[in-house]
Amino acid sequence: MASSITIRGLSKSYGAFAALSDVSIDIPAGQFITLLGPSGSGKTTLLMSIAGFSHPDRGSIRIDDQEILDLEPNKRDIGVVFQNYALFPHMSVEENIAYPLKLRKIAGAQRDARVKRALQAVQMDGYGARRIHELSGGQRQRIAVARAIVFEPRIILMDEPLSALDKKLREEMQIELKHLHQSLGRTIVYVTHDQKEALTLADQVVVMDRGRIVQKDSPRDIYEQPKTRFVADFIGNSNFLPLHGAGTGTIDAQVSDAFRRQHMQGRQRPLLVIRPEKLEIVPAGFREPGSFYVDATVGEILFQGDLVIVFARLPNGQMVRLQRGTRRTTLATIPPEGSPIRLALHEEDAIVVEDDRP
Amino acid sequence: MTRIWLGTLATAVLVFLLVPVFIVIPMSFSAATYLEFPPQAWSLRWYDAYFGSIEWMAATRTSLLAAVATVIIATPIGFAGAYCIDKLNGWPRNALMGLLLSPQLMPVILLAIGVFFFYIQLGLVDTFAGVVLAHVALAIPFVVTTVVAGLSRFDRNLENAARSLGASRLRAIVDVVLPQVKMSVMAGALFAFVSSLDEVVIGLLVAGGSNTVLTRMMFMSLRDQVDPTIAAISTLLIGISLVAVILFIFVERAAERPAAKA
Amino acid sequence: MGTVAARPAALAEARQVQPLKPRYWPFALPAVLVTLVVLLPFLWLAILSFFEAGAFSLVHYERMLENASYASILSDTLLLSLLVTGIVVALGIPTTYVIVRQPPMVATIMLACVAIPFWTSLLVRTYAWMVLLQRKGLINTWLLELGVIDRPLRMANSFSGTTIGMVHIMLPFFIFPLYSAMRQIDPDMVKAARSLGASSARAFWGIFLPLAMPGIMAGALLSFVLCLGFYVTPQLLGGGNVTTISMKIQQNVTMYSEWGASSALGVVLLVLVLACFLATQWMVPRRLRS
Repeated sequence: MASSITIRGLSKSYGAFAALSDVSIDIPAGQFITLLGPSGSGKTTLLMSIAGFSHPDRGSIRIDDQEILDLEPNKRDIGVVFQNYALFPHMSVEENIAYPLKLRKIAGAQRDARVKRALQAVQMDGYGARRIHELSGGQRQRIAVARAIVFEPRIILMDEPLSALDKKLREEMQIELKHLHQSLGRTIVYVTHDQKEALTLADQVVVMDRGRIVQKDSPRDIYEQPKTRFVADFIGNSNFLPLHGAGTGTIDAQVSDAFRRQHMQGRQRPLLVIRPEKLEIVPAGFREPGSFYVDATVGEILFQGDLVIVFARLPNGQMVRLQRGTRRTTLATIPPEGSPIRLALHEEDAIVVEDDRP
Repeated sequence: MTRIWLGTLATAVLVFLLVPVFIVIPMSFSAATYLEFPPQAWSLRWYDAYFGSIEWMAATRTSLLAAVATVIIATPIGFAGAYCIDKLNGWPRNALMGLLLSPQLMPVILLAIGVFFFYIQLGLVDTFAGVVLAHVALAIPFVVTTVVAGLSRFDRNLENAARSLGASRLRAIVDVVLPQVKMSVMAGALFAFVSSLDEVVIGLLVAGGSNTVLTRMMFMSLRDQVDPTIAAISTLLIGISLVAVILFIFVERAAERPAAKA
Repeated sequence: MGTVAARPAALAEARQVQPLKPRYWPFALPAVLVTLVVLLPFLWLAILSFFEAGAFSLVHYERMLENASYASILSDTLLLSLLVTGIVVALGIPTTYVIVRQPPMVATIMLACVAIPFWTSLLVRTYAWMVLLQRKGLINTWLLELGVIDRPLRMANSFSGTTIGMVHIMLPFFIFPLYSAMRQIDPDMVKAARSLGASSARAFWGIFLPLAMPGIMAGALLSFVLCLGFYVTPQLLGGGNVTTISMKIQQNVTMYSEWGASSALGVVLLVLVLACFLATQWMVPRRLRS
C-alpha cells in the first residue's frame, strides 16, 4: 500500500549553484516526513526530483527497491499536490478527480465510486459538478488533494500546499491532512518553509540548508536537540550566547561536570542556545547549581494576546528574548521596564551547538 | 487647443488609412469599363467576369487550397516549435526563436529568389507542393509568435500535474495545454491563412502555370492593364479581411480573458 | 520496506541508471526543417555571388559598382525608405498617442481602423492607390473639379505616388507595436511630472516621449527594413520611374537569368538590413539606460 523511498547521493547543479549536494535519506513506508528549510535550500528541488520534474545530475532514488530516476513522471505512480493546486480550469471538479482514473482506463461505476470516496475523504462530497473558478482557496486545496489520492498512489508529495491560505484555514487544514495521513497510511513527503507547520504535521522533520540535509529527527527532537546553529535558529526563536572567548564573562555557568563533559568540552567554540520559553526569572543573586545565569535589564515588553515577549538587555548590549504565557500570576512575576532581572536556564533545558558562524 | 489639433490629425490619418480600402468597393459595382467615381451606372458585370472566368476561378481555387493546406501544416508544427521554445531558456531559446522567426525578418525577395533557385533544381517550380512549402515557412513565424505568447500565460504546473497523474507528454498537451491556449493557436492559424492568401512575391516566381495563385494573376493584370475585374476580386478579398479582423478581435478578447486560476 | 542495514546488499545488485534527461528538440524539428529549406537556398546564392565560373571572384560586385544604374537604384531605395519611414514616424506617433489616451471602446474602434487596412491584401491596397492616383483617377478628378489644379498631377508611376502608397502600407506596422509600447508606460509618470509643475507639452516631450523611444525605434526600424526590401508597391506604383533593389533583383532573375548579379545585389540588401538591426541594437541599450 505505502512505499519506502531511498535516496542516495542526489546532486543537482545549475552552473555554479548547487541546488542539491549529495543528498541521501531513508524514508520508511507510511511515514509523514516534512522537508523544511529556507528558500534555496533545495527542498522543492528534492521533492520535484522524486516526482520526476527536476532531473538530478547524479544519484539514485529508489521506491521499494525500484530505481525510478530513469522513469518518466507519468510512470512513477506518485500523487503530487502543487503549490498553486494546478487544477485544470476547463474541467469540472469531478472531471479533475476522475482524470487519473480515465488515464488508467478505469471507467463506469468503479470510477464514480472512487471519485466519490476521494471527495468524501477531503470532505467535499457533492461538489463534483462545480467548476474550479467557483471554489475558494481552501476548497481548491482539498480537491487537489483528492485528485492526488484517488488513484491510490503509494507515495504522495506536497509542495507547500497550504502557503496560499490564511492562518486559521491553514491550521485547520493541517489537522485535516494529519488525519488523512492516518486514515490512508501512505508515505507523504511534504515541503514547507513554515517550521510550525513542519512540527505539527510530521513524523520526521528533515531540515535542509543550501542543498544539504542538516538534520533529520522527530519534531520533538528537532526542537529540543538541534544539532547545529542553523537548525536552532531556523526552528523556534532562539537566543545565542557564546560559551567561549569573551562571552564567558556574561554568563554565570553553574552547570554540572557531567553537563560540561557531555556538551561543552567536545566543542571548539560552544554556543548556548536559549529558547525564550525555557528561561526562568530568579531572584537577584540566586546561584543554585544546575543552571546558567545571566543578569540583565528589562527592556521592551510586548503583549501579544496569548503570549508576552520580554526583551532583556545584557551588560554587553545583546538583547535576550524571554517568552511567557499571559496568566495573571505569570504576568505578575515580570518586573517593569528598566528594572534589573536575573534569568536562569536549567541545564536540562540547555542546548549547546558549535558556533560555526565566522 | 493642442488636443483638437492632435485629434484632427489622428482622425485624418485614420481616414487616410481607411478610404483607399473602401473606395474599391463601390467601384466594383460600376458599369463603366474605365475607372470612375462615383459610378454613374451600377452593374455586376465585373463579378460576372470574375466568376465566369475559368482562369480566375482556377487561380482562386489554387490560392484557397494552398491557404488551407498552409494552415493545416503550419499550425501543428508551429505549435510544436513554440512548445519547444517555451521549455528552453537562455541562448538556445533565443536561437531557436530567432531561427523560426527569421523568414519574417528577411526581405521576402531574397527568400523568393532562393526558393526559386532551389525549386528549379528540384523541379518544384509551379507546383502546388512548392507553393505550400514556401507559404508554410512564412506562416510558422505567425503561429510561433502567438503560441509562445499564449504559453507564457499558461501555468506550467498544469502540464506537470497531468503528467504526475499518469498522462504521457502528448496526452498532457492534448488534454491540458491545448485547451488553455487554443485561442492563441487559433489566432496563429488565422494569421497563417491570411498570410498565405495574400502572399505575392514568392508566388510571382514559383506559383505559375497550372498552379498560378490568385495574387500572381492579379499582379500581372495590374501591371499590364488595369482591369476592373480586379475591383470585384478586391472587394471580395476586403470582405475576407473584415471577417478576419472581427474573428481576430474576438479571439484576442477570449485569449486575454483570465483563464480561471487553478 | 526494510531497515537501513538490509539496504546495502540490495543496492549492490542494483543497476546504475542514468537519470532521465528530457529532450525537447524533436518538437521543434519539423518547423526548423521547413524554415531551413526556405532560408538556406538564399544563403547558398549569397555564397555563389562570390564565385564566377567556379572560382572565387568579386566580378559581380565590380559590375555593380561600374554600372551607374545601380547607384541610382541604391539611392532611390534608400531615399524612398527614409522618406516613407520619416513620414510614418511623424504621423504615427501623434496618432498612436491619441489612441492610447482614449477610453477602451473608442480605442478599439480606432485600432480596428488601423487593423482593417493591415489585414487587407497588399495588392488590393496598392490597386486602390493606383485607382486614386492615376491621371484620370479620383484625386485628380476631384482636384480638377474643385479648381485646385489646372492639369492632372502626375502621381501614379512616380516617386511621390510610390511614397504615398508605401506610407499607407507601413503605418499599421508602426502603429501596432508602438501602441503596445505606449500602453506599458505608466500613466502615473506623466501625472507625476504635471504635479511637479511641468506643462502638458513639457511632460510629453520630456517624460512620455523618451519612455516611448524604444517602441518608436523598434517601429521605425521595422518600417525602414520593410521599405528597403519592398517589391510590390514600388513595382506597381513606380511604373518604371522608380526602381528599388528588390525590383532589380526580380528583374535580373526573371528577365535576364542573371543569378550572379541578383545574388550580389541580394547580399547588398541583406547587409543593409543587418546593418539596420545592429544600429538599433547599439542605440537601444543607451535609451534603456537613461
